[in-house]
This record gives sequence, structure tokens and C-alpha cells, in this order.
Amino acid sequence: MRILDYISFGLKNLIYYKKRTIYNIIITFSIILIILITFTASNTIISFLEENINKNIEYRTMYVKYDVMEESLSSVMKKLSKVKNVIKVIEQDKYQSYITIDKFKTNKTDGEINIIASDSNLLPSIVAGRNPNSNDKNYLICPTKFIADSNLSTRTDLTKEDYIDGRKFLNKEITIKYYSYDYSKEIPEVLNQYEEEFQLIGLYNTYDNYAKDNTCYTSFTNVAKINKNMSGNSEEYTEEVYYHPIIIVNDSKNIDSVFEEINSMGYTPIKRMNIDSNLIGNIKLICLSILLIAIVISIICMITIILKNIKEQEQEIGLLKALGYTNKNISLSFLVESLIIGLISFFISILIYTILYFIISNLINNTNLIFTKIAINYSWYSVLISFIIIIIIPIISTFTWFKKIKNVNIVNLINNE
Amino acid sequence: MSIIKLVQAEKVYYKLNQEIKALNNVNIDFSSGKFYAIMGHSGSGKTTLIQILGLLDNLTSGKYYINGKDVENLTEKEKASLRMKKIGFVFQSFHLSPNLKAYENVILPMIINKDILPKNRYQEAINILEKLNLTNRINHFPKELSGGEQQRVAIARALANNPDIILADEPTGNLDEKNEDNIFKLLKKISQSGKCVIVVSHNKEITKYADVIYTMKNGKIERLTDENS
Repeated sequence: MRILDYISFGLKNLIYYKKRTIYNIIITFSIILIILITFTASNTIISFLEENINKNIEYRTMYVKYDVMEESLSSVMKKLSKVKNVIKVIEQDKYQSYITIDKFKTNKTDGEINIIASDSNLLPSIVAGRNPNSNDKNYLICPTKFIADSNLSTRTDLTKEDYIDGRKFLNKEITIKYYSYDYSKEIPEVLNQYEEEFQLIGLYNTYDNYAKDNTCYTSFTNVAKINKNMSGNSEEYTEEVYYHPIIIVNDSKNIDSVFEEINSMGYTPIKRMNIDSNLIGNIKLICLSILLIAIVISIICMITIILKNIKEQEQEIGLLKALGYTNKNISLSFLVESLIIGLISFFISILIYTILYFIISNLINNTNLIFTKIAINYSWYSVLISFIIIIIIPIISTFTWFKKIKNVNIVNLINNE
Repeated sequence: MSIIKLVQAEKVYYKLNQEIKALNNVNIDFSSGKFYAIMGHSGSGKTTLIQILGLLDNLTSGKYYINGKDVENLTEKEKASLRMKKIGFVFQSFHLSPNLKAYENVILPMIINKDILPKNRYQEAINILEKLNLTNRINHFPKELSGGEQQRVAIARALANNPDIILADEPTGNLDEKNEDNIFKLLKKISQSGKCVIVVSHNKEITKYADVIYTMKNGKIERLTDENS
């Protein structure tokens, strides 16, 4: 038999059994579409988490505890700066602070924000406004939507309506206020009040960065200055506080190796955010499991369809065998039929997938929802996997079935027993 | 000249632990150019005989020769090749492919015959159908044909690869009297062209056309009188 004969045979069968063919194409392209969508969704979720956790500075930040009696802070910091993949070593009191901004107060919140020291290399992606440059002294980078409150992590009464729209304050002057205290008294009293003008030059998405909803960024210099001012005369009247250094790792994938190295140096590193490596791992596992289940179910459905088609045509198979067709001839005929259905379904599903991709991508890119900037990648990998499935499954199914009927009495087949 | 020969042929089935001898020590041979009728009641073994002759089933014991060659121990592939080249089947229920037109059904056996070039298949099929007075039906699907026409298409299909042997199992079983006659006449004509035509039938009308008549009873075969054609 020539290839054309097989194709002609297959096409005639498909056209004659129109209803069945349409049904099979619908089922098959639905299956392929499910695989494509599941793949894309899994990839999107995993990439989203990996990339955005990766961008999160706090995730890449560790405290390093050391024996303060044995070694000085400067000596420890010097050693830590030589650790591979560490891009920043700073004293703890120069990393983070809490300040109140009157403009951010509402009737439910006290206006306190958490500011973290950063520079242009360590900032999250700016979605509105701009990155700071060397001329910017008192700058603030805030979330697009945020809540300024000192008890944010424990408040359960706050809703979406309590969020402040950062765009309202973009490029505006913001007054920050903080106090230093006199520790000579039993109960510390306000020593000095400080007011400084900052400019809100850029906005980022907390969902992109997995950051807390009250986290803002400013320069290392500003944080150091604020904390120093706030400390007042505490050095004179309180016990010496030993601040542990903070290190920032260049990439989230290097966190574990840096952790191990600092451990081996005899220090105790503590991750600022300890949940994410497990979180990403678990979510990856769930996504991959869902994907695997989708693929397995798809394969089972496809095999069932093919075997059902073959079973329905047992009488014709018997006739062909009686006419002298070999098992190979018959197997290849059904294989070509299955491949034709598979290819038609494949192209339909790719078309629908592509249309869906453009619609959803545009929808996400043009929306102002808080859950924005999810990058959906067109999954060529899933297109390839789907193509392989529609080629391999018919091959396995057809030859598996014919192995079984190879020795069945032709008469029984013709009589459909 | 003997084209088919069965020697001490036996076919045994087992049903509910009971042994059933469908063929019981059958010794028979068939020659080219003759029309053979095998008659008998239901369960006599005639259908089993024709299935064995058509290599659709295997003997339990005994020998089967086609053109002097023992075919019992051939592989499935060799048997399939022999069926394609040497044997044409006609079934009671026609068994035409419903998704193929009349001429396509006739071409079906030609597809696997390397001796017929693809470009010649159509004309060969038309030639055969014309001989069977089906010129006006070549582009019709089986469901558009009458019973008699369908059986003639089935006969045309059986003749597609110019086999030496035509086997027909109750070819008139689903036809009316007029068509029965036409089919038997046709098969007679085919035998006169030099082919060995073997027909299983319980229809007594066949005796008017057959050159040799056998009857079967309980797996045994007995030759009745020859009838000169």
C-alpha cells in the first residue's frame, strides 16, 4: 500500500463517519487545549513566584549573629563582604526604620510606614514614576496601593477600601515626622522632633515583590540618619545594643549557598523571610502534579477514543483480513486516521490557544486591577509536548490493539463476535 | 486439474466441554473450471469447510493443499498473501464497505496487490463491473444499491485480483428468487471462464447450475451425482 492509499482510506472513513469524526475532533482538541492551558498556567504561576520572590529584597536578606565578645562588628562585616554572591553588608540599624507620615493617616490607620534602605540595584521594579538617580537625596519609593499602619500584620478589620492610592502622591512632597527620646528619664520623653521633606518619585507593586503593604524604600543614608536621630541619647543611658549585620544576596538562587558559607564561618545566619523556598517548592509541586494529571487524563481519553473507533470497525477489520490485508496494513490505516484527527485537532487547539493568549494578555496589560503585571508566556514547550502526544498516542494505541486481535479468528471478526 | 485438496481434514471445536467435530475426516479435491455446490443443513459443517478452504480458519488435523502446496503451516502473512492472490470471497451479508462507492469496493483488494498499478485500478474495476452489468452503479454507495446489485458488487470485488478460486458462503441467502437465479448464473459463468467456484448453499436451486454437488452431514462430506454443465 502506498502512503496515498492509507491517507485516502483514512479520509474516506472519516468523511463517512462524519458524526464520529466531529465528536473525536472536539474531544481531542479540547484535551490538547487543556494541556496547553494547564502548561501555560503552571509556567505563569511558577515564573511569577520565582521572578517576584527573586526580586524581593527581604527574601534575599539575612541577619548574621556573631559572638560579640569574640569579634568586633567591623571585623565581621569585613569578612561577610568577601562571601561570594553577597552584594551588600550593612549594620542592622542602617537597614530599616519605621516612620509616620501624616498624609498617609486615615480614620482607621496611624500613618506609620516601614522604610527599608535600598539603592537602584536593590529596588523592586518601578511601575510608575522613575528610579532614583545620584541627585535624589530624600526620595521615597512606595507601593501603588498601600496601607500605613504600625499594626498592619495583626489588623483584621482593614479592607480594600482602606488602601491608599500611591498615584495620588506621585512626584509630590511628603513630610515625614519622627522623634528622638531622652533616655535619662525613667520613662523616655521626647527629646527632639524631626521633620523632613521627601519626594515620592516612584511606585512599585507589592504583589510583584511579595512585599508588605506598608513597605517603602529610601536610600541607605536616609535610613541611617533617621535611626541615628531617633536613637537620641540612648547610647549614654541604655545598655549597649549589639546590632547584627545584615547581608543582601545577589540572587534568590544563591541564598542557600550563602547561608551555608556563613554557617561554615562560625556565624549564625537568619533569613528575614523563611517561608518562600518551601512555598515556591510546594507550589511548583502542585502545579507540576496538576499538569501531570492533565496529561495522563488526556492520554487516557485519547487512547479510549482510538480504541473505541477500532472496536466499532471490527467487522471491517475482519473483512480486510479476509481480503488479504495484513495486520500491518490495517494498523497503519487506523494509525493514519488517528493522526489525521490528531493533526486537525492540534491546529484547532493551537488557534484557540493563541487567540485566548492574546485576549488574556491584553486584558491583564490594560487593567488597573491590583493583581497586575502577571507575565503570561506563550508556551512553545507545551505546543511541542502536545504535538508529541498526538503523534505517539495513536501509534501506541493502534499497535497495542492489533497485537490483541492478531490471533483472533477472522470469521469471528466478520461476524463481530 | 486439482487446485484444492483436503486430506483427512478435521476441525474440532469445544463448546461447554463438549467436543464438536465440524469436519470429520474430510477428503476432497476441487478442480479449475468447475462449479461446486456444497449443501447441507445448518450445523452440518459446510460453513466451516468453506472457511478452512478460504484460509480464514485452521484445521485441527489433516492437510490442505492449494496448487499442490501445503498451506496449513504458512505464516499469517503468507496466508494473507495467498488469500489476496488466489481466493475471492463472497459473503452472505455482502460485507461491502459502506463508506466506499461500488468501484472503490472493487478496488479495495487491488490496493494491496502490487501486480496492479495504481493508475490501472480504476479501469480494471470499471471493466469488472461492466461485465456484471453494473455500469450505471459504479459511483453509488452500497446503501443506494439493491440486494442483488450489492451481491454483484461483492462478486466483482472477489474477482478484483483475478483469483483462481471463488468461495461463496450462502451468496443468495439475503436475496429474492429472481436475484438468486441471477447470482447463480453469474457464478456459473465465472466457473466457465476457468475459475474454481465453490458455493455453500442450502438453496436447492443451485443444483440447476452446479457441475458437482456435495452434501455435508455431521462434518462428513458425500458426493452426489455429477451434473454435466
